[in-house]
Amino acid sequence: MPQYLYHPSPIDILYPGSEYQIEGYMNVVYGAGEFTGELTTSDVSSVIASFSVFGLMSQWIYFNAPFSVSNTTLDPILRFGFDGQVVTEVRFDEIKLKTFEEWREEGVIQIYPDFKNYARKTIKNKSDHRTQGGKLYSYKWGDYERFEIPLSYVANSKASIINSWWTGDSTILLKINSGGVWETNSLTFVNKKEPLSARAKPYPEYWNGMLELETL
Amino acid sequence: MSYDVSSWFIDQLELKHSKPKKVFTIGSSDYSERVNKWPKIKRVANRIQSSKVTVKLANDDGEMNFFYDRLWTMPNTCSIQVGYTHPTSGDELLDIFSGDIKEIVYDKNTCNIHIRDRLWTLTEKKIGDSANTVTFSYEIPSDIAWTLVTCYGELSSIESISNPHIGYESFLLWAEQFSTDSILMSAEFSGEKVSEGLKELGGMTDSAIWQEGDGKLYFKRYEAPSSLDFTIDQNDWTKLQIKIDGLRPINKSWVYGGYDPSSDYWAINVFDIDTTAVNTFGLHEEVLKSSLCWLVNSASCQNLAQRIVRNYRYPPKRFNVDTIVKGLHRQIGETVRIVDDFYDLTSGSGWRYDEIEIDVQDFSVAYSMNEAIAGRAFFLDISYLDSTSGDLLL
Repeated sequence: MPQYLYHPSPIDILYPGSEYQIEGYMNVVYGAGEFTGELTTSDVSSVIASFSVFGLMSQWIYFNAPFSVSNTTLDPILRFGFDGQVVTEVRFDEIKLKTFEEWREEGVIQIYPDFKNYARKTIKNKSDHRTQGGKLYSYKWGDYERFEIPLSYVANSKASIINSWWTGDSTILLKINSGGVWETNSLTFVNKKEPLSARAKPYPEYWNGMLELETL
Repeated sequence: MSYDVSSWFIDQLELKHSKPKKVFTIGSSDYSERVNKWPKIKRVANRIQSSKVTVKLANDDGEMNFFYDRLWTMPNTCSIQVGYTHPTSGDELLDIFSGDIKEIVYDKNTCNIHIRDRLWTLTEKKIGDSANTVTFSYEIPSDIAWTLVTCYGELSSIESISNPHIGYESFLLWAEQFSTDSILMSAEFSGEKVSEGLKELGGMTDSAIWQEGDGKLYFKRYEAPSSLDFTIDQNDWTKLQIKIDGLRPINKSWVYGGYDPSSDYWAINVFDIDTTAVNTFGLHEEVLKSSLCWLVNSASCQNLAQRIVRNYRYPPKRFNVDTIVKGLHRQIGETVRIVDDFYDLTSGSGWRYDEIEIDVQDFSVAYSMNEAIAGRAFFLDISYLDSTSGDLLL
């Protein structure tokens, strides 16, 4: 008998003929394994959409699934089923349910960097001259910020969007939330190659990499 | 003379921590933000030579393709300035190079702009031709130079400091020396380039002609300095090299004058010699002889021969000094003290620099100084004299 974890559905009504996308993040505290995500009718009698996500211990995993409905559905329910042996505990974040067009046009991706090797540096562009008498003359031309953001287990769809931003030399607006405070930086990719190009073993649909971003 | 800058600017040059500013313009448009690599700018006065500078601009977005798309945009003047931003009065910038675009190379998403100074334009203009020779007869050398650069070189002929092409103040000082010494020349040109004419004229008068950072031509005939303009000590220089060139002394100088073009004959032939230098270093001769421009009397020829031997009779010492930008506002020909304990160079040692290389990328300056053109200055340090008797004896 699977264990079910219920989450408030982020939408009140679904219409037939529209395409929808459900997405979010989950972080498994106990009981890593395969979870089945389902969107059901309000009485849990029919499953409207289902998807699977492989939860990892202490890792924020992104999931998403496009779906459509054949009938108007009020107050759908979102639940995650786990068929493992241990009692599972899971955290969720940023669960969104929107029309597919909204998701495609929004251009916002939420990421959860690894703490190890995450770096933020201020780099000075300067010329130094040490004279025979030992005096140092330093001329500063300017400075810029550099972010090194390691990511792992990034889903296919998100990785392809990030890589497409790198290909297109897009301007990236990086918003960092730390301690409840938002900080915004306007950056560009300086990676020599695609930032998310290494597969996260053993999962073919997840990617690892490092985002190298510098201020414009 | 030096550039006219404020005392605040001079203070900034000597600060140990500062935020200088570099500006590169093409015409009136500022492309400073696109410069990938700033050039080194070299100016020489010991030989008449055009300076060439290359500025590399980023062209990843193709915004610099207009030179390729519209060829008529290529003829344009570029300038490089460095300076500082005053907190209240705004930018104070020094012109360190001005020239015309001569070549553009697009390569690997960069646009490389090759720029030549105004001396180069004088290599593209000629003086007369074989059917219409241009002659000058018994004129002050500076008058000949003025005609060459304005009539044939097409530089501005405005006779004031507002002349945009000629450093008029330096020209007047140069001309005054010839007037004082009553030096007269004749010349005949039949299609030679203006640059060649200037080169011959400079050689026959032992003069330096160069373009300064403001894009103007300057003229100078070195004399013994009466004072020294600035000091470089061990807290200013990063590298010092002293070169003694045993191949370059001239202890016997021949000067030919009174040339007759119709018979290809020089009627005047004088020399000067320093016997002591010959006995010490061997005979080193030089012959000054030109069929393009020549001195017209024995006195002028003898004056030149004596000048050459006086300045170059001993192997000249040449100082190559890399420094901070302390003297960036100075001009070629100014005098400088070098102080160094190891070589026992004291504040009594004075030199002129006749070459300067400004590294705009790194913001440093390299001077090349010539003892010979310092006029063999001798500065008496009275602290070493015996003053116990109350008399100062020499």
